[in-house]
Amino acid sequence: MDPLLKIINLSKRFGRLSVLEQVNFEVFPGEVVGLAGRSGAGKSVLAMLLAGLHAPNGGIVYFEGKRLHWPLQARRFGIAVIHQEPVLAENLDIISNVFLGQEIGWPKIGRLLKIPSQSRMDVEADRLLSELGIYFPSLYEKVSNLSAEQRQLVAIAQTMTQPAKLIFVDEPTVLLSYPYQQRLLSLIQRWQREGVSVIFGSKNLEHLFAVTDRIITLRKGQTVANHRTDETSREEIVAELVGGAGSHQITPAIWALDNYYQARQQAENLRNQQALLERSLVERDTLNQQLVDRLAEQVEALDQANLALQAAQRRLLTEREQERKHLARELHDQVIQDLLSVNYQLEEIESSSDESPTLVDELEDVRTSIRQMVQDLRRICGNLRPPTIDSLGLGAALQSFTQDWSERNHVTVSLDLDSKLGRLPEAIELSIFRIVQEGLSNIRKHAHASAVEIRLKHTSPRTLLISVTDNGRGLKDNFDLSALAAEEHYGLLGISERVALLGGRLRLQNQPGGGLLLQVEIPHPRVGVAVDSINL
Amino acid sequence: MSVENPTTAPESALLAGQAAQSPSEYLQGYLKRVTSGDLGSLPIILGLIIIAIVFQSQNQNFLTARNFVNLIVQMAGITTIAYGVVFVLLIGEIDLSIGYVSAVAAVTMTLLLREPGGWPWYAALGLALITVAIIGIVQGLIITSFQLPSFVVTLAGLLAWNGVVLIMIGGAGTVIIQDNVIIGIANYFLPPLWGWIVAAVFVGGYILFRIRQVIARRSQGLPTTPMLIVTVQSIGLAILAGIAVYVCNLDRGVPFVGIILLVFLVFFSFLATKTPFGRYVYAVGGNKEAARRAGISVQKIQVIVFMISSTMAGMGGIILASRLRSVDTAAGGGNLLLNAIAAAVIGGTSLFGGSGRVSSAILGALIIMSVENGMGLLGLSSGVKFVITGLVLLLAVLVDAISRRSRSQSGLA
Repeated sequence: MDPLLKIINLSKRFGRLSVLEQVNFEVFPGEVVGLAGRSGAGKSVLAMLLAGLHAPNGGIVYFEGKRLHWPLQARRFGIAVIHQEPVLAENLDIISNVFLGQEIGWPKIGRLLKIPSQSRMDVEADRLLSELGIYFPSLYEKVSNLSAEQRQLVAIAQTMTQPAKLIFVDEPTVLLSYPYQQRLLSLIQRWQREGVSVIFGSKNLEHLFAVTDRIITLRKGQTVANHRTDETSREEIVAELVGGAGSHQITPAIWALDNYYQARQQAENLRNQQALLERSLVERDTLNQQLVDRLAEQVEALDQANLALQAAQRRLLTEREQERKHLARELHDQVIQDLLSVNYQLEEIESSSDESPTLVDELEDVRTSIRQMVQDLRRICGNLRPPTIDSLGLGAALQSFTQDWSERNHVTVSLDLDSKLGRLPEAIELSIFRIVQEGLSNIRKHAHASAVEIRLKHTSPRTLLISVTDNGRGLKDNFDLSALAAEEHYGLLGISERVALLGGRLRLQNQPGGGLLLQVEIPHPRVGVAVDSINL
Repeated sequence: MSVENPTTAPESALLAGQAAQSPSEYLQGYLKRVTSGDLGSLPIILGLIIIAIVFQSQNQNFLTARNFVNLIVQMAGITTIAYGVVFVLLIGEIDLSIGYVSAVAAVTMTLLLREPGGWPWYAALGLALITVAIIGIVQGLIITSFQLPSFVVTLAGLLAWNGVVLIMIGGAGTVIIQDNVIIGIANYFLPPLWGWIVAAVFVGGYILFRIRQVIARRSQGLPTTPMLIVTVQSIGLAILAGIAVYVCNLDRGVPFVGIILLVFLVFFSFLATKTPFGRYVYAVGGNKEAARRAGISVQKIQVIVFMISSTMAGMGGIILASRLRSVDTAAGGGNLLLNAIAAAVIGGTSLFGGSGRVSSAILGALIIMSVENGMGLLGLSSGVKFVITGLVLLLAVLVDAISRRSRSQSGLA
């Protein structure tokens, strides 16, 4: 394989000071060559020669097999150089500096008079810098306002605006903080993967050993050694940097220096880790906050679902009541009237016929059973829709219902109504009626009680306390309201649902002397009481 | 949004975030720039208002249509020369030869036009401009090739070209220009309708350019000047142009040379801000080494700038000759050179390179010539005129220096 860059006996003098002499080395395509050397060894001068900033005094340089001549337009050949000290046009902004000399525009040829596309450069600069992981508050900032590190980053971005075949990285790490040093190292590795050759000049042996394929040692302007990185060691390089002769004297100092570099790097690493840790702490805090927020959101969503469910149930109950009302009216207005008229007809038949007394007796029986039916139907209607509740209110309805119930079940019922009960909204009255109804039906089914006491009292102008007390068996010890549904006991469950829908409280308690206390507290609007109290 | 690479997301968002700049934010930004010392052309506009008030209160002929048209014709020569000076100052150099180089162009053209056997006007004008362009290239090459200070080389030019003018005119003393086209450059006035048409074309072009720019940037999600501001600026420009044309039409009409000034202004502004050449000029003026490292041929830029400077000086000389309808041995002398440089500096171009705008030439020239014009109306002696012009220049440089200092204190320099 032919070398990409071949340097033969390159030399450079400034006045009588010889900075480079007899520099010889080669760089192959896709190779990362480390350039080790102490300060003043000539690394930066070599970089400037290859950048075309200075002309050499002697020697031959081949690039891609062609001999290079100075003055050299290095970038035209695909040689990019990142200098130790960035030099930027202070009066221009970041984007203009990044693209200085490489403006994107139209037409492609004719460098001076093409019309640059500012917006395309803005977008491209943004892409390039974020690719490098560089953060600037504004890309329109003048370079003179940037820190040394930021300026070096701009200089690095500058070299990436044009594809290069060889990138000379001349110790830019001096100005970079630890994270960006690491980023630069990985950038060098990326360039290598892309087939770009890199010359990496550095005093820092850690960096050199981390990324290079070969290490060339420069001492006093001469190439003194050329090793494959994996075949050499730090000790060897240090010895070469110092020079063979005095090594036994100077080595300790150099070791100290090298240790200093290592210590400094570790310190920087630590500082970086600390910064990372702080950031991750902040992030964790925000994560927790996010979790809490999400939880709150979910709770809220659940609340809403609950509310919606309640609304649906309320609607269902209302509709059921409507349905019952309708059914009751149908039965009452239609079926009962019909039966009564049948009864009446039978009576007429009875009186007008001179038939056998047996027939009369039978007719009498039929009429009795019709009357019985009508009575039953009336009771059913009453259960479906207490007839009095709409006209006379809750108190009257409860009175008529409990009286009826007491007669049929042979259980004494004492009803104690608040004197200022008044009228409440229909939904509440109905609910209370149903609660009492359910309560009594429970007592009939399970309690085996002989007396029931029902009390409706205002505990405050806006709360009504309903208590149903019996002297029956009471609840089982392991009673669990939430398990009722599973056992298909819907009575108490229905009560508790209604109470919940009205925003009230339900209490079930076994009485000391046996029996059960069912206590319901229901809030209601003031209106009914107010009107009532005015009437009083 | 990738989790692996959290650093990339904010940057793009950042650039896009700036796009949503509201008019109030834009105005706040402008106010911040002004209060931190980046005054732009504000001091010049204030200066012009003060000049107008002072002279009008002393002599009511100052703010008249006739004097306005006169002022445009008077300032045309040094403005044209100052356009070139701006570029030289931008790269941090100086060109002292422009005064007599302008005379070389004027004399060359006049001699070529001389009857009998005179050249057609375009050939004479073209050759005169080519001659001074070559002078600029030669001076630029000498300066850059031998790394000589431009001050010294162009000072030598000042002396040498003065001599050349004297030799060329010889014993004649004064040469009259008889070509009507050349005389028309500074003495032709557009008919009223054409004045309006030209103003409409300029304003329309400006508005189209601005709107196209805003739309193009917005489509890429890049920060733009708010549309409201663009509209206000466009309307402001239209009103100014309308007033100018209206006032000119009250007198002799819009001077043709005024159009030339505007065309040069647009052309050189474009060159300075919208081409790589312009960027390189600023880069070379800001930091020569940076330009060199960026692969810019600094020498080429410098030579081209000296060529522009000489060519524009020649153009200015021809306009001045056209106004006088003749050239004489005093051509290019007097305070022409210093007025041209002063115009650029008063307009806000830094003498140290890297900062300034082409429009500073026309604004500075407007200040200098209105002071001179006003003092002429008052009948002051030339000694008083020089003193006052000197004070104005000093004041301009002071304002610039003070604003620069407050800018560096507020960290925006």
